[in-house]
Amino acid sequence: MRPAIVKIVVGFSAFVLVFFGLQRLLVPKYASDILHGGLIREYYRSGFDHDILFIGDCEVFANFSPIALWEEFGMTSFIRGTPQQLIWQSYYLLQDTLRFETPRVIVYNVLSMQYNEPQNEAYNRLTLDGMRWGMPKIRAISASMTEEEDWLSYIFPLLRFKDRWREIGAEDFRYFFRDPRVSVNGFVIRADVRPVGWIPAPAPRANYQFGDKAYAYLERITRLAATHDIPLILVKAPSPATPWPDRWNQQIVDFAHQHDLMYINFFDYIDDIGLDFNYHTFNAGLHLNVFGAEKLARFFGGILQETFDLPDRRGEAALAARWGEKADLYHRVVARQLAEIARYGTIKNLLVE
Amino acid sequence: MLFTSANFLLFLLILFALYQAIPQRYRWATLLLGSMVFYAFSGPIFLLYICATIIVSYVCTMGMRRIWERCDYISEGTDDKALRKQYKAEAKAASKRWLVTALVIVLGLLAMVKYTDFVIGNTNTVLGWMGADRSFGFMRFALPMGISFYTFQTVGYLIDVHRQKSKALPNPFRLALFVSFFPQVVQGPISRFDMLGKTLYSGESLNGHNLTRGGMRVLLGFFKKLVIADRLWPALVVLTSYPEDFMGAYYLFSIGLYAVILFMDFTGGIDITIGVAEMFGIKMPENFNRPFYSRSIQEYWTRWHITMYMWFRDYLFYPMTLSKGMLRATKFCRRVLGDGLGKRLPVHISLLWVWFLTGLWHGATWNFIAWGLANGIVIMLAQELTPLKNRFHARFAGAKTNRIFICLQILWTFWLMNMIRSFDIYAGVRNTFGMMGSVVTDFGLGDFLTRGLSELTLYTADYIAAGAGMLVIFWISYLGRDGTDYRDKLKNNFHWVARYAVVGLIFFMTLVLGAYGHGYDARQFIYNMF
Repeated sequence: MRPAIVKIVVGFSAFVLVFFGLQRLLVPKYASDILHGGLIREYYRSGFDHDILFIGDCEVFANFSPIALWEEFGMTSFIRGTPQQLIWQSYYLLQDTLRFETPRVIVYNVLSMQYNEPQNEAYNRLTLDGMRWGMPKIRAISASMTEEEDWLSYIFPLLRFKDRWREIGAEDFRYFFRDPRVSVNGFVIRADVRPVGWIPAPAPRANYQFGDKAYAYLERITRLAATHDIPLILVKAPSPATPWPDRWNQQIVDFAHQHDLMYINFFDYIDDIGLDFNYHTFNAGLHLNVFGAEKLARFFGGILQETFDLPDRRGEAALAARWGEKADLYHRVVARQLAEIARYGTIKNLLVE
Repeated sequence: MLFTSANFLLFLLILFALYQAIPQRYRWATLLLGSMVFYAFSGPIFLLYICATIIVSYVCTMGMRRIWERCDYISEGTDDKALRKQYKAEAKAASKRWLVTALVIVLGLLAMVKYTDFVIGNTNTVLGWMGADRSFGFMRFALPMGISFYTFQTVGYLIDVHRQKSKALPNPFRLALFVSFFPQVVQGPISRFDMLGKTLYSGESLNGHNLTRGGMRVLLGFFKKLVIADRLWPALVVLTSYPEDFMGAYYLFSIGLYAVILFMDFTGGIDITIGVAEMFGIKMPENFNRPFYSRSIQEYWTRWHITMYMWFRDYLFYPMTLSKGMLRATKFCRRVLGDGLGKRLPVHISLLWVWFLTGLWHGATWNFIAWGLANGIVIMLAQELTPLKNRFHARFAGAKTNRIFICLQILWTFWLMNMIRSFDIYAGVRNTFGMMGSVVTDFGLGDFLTRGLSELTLYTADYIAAGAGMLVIFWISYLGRDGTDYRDKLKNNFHWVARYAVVGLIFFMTLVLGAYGHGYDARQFIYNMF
């Protein structure tokens, strides 16, 4: 090889190496404070064999325990939800998931119907950065970007997170070569308790009608599920601190009726589920803690089993072994969190490791 | 379209592709198209102003060209020197009419958009003093991008054609490219046609040498602008927005900070301009020559914004001092005041007038006028003190080469220029003088040391980043201390691995430490506002 070509090849290789090295170093690892940016990427290491796919916002990743569904009913499930995950993001995540597997049931939590426009760059990042590149991700970014965002920084996240050089810490080096694990099949484990206190009455709204765009994407989710011959269930998780006015609920009831879908507002079944919001929530009624999530999963699992006749797969040796490991980890993390709460009064380590 | 935006980089890539795809003889037309598109991004309506300047300049220079061609043709037909001289004088007078027409329109456009409200505002003030109860409404013209720069460049061309230093371009589109060439329209440099014209239309193919050489210069421009100037800018905004809270020692800090920001911003922009032109194989004049190493204000102005200084010198100062009226005035002064002051006074008057106009060119405010006059007065005083200086050097012969003395001269010039530049950053001439005075009346060193820089919205990390950036620039400046381009130095004196490492360091520092993207307001170059 000629010397000039050697120089170019070496120079370019070094450039690429440094660029992606810096990018890896500076992009948030989501290993402390905010774990949720790590949720979406974990799906791609999950084995792609799930009976139930949950999609939605924070009301799915904290409220349904996949391990309880496995241990109680032998159902495998994965949750693809992040905080304030907008309905079009859920739609494209569903498209993305269907590239890898075909679940037996899709469950969509309807709280994000309230948003008709892109909301917030930080939340967009939590959902979109973790998606694997493909048309669903490209379309999800296009649909979600706020005015202050640009395409280039999604392609090269370094351009967005470059200013983190001021706050680089040990965590960034510890998780340079591997991502921290933040969930069990998309479920964020929280064993702490913060009871529901006083909940202020929600401020009246000028308009209770869900937006056109939100409806259009709900239609698209419905059609996509139907195209793949997968039953779709609409749910509203039981979160007393999250406003869910009757007029919103009625619109979902009507939609489900028109499209022949099952809709469950779990708030109507608090007693049947056995939830006590003095014990089963970790943030004053916004989300369930792990014990509440287990109760909800057991209740919902029963419905799923009854309605869709989902098989108990605990007899499949390889699958049982894999899920056994997940369950062990899950219980270890719950035990560790309880120990930390007993010792420090709070959870020190939220990672699932 | 900001030079430091992703849109500009995309624009450049598209232009490169188009330029290369087109046959060499038409490539200049691609540059013209690109320039018009670039200009339209600043506001399509502004194309009207620049097109008006181009059309008027074209018509008038073609008028001059015809006159001079006819003069040459007639002169060739006679051997009578007196007749030839007469033809030339007549041609000159006729050409001058075209020149004056062009200048009135072209400078009139500039005056209209830039100075109308200044005149109205001052007229209203005077009317108020006189007790009049009426005032004139402001016109609020939007200022077309780079109008001061392209107008002066065009005026230079018009005068050169009139002086027969340059031949008028017969193709209006070529003239349009000279006036509107996109890298220089933002903030100069103010090019001369005889220099820029040599390479502007050559249509040289894109090649590795030009692209890497120009690219390195563009990269350095991005570095200066984003890592240093834009990162420090918010602190300057705080310091100058609440001057009453930042007097005395803070004032000195502010003007030092402004010197750094302005230098990095302006030279960064010029680096991008010259670098982009180099990538197309086009050579543009240098605008800076390590100005902060100047040992006097006169020297400073031969190193800072060189093309503007030379423009005023060649097209205003020399013609003025050598005009018949000024020569008559000199004669009169020498008769009345004697050979010394009588000879210098008309030169000083010309100097002050030119600096008054230089100030006015920078902006339609009394601050800029005061800035210009302050420069003129300091230069005038320096000239008046020359005999004293000469006596000093005769007494201390070694001072000129003494390093400590040289350092003191450099520091003195730096801080003198910083003081004069105060007029750029504080609102109102009176306020600026108040801030200067605070150094004596309310220095407040204790207050400065106690409060430090914590109120200036920047973090320690920002100062570290900008400081690291300044070290890199200082090193690059040091590389070029003998006048050699730092890129040649890198190429000739460094192993290729070290060379790549330096370029990589500048690139990645810009990428990571640059003040751009989310959380930053994209900021136009300071000189674009002039």
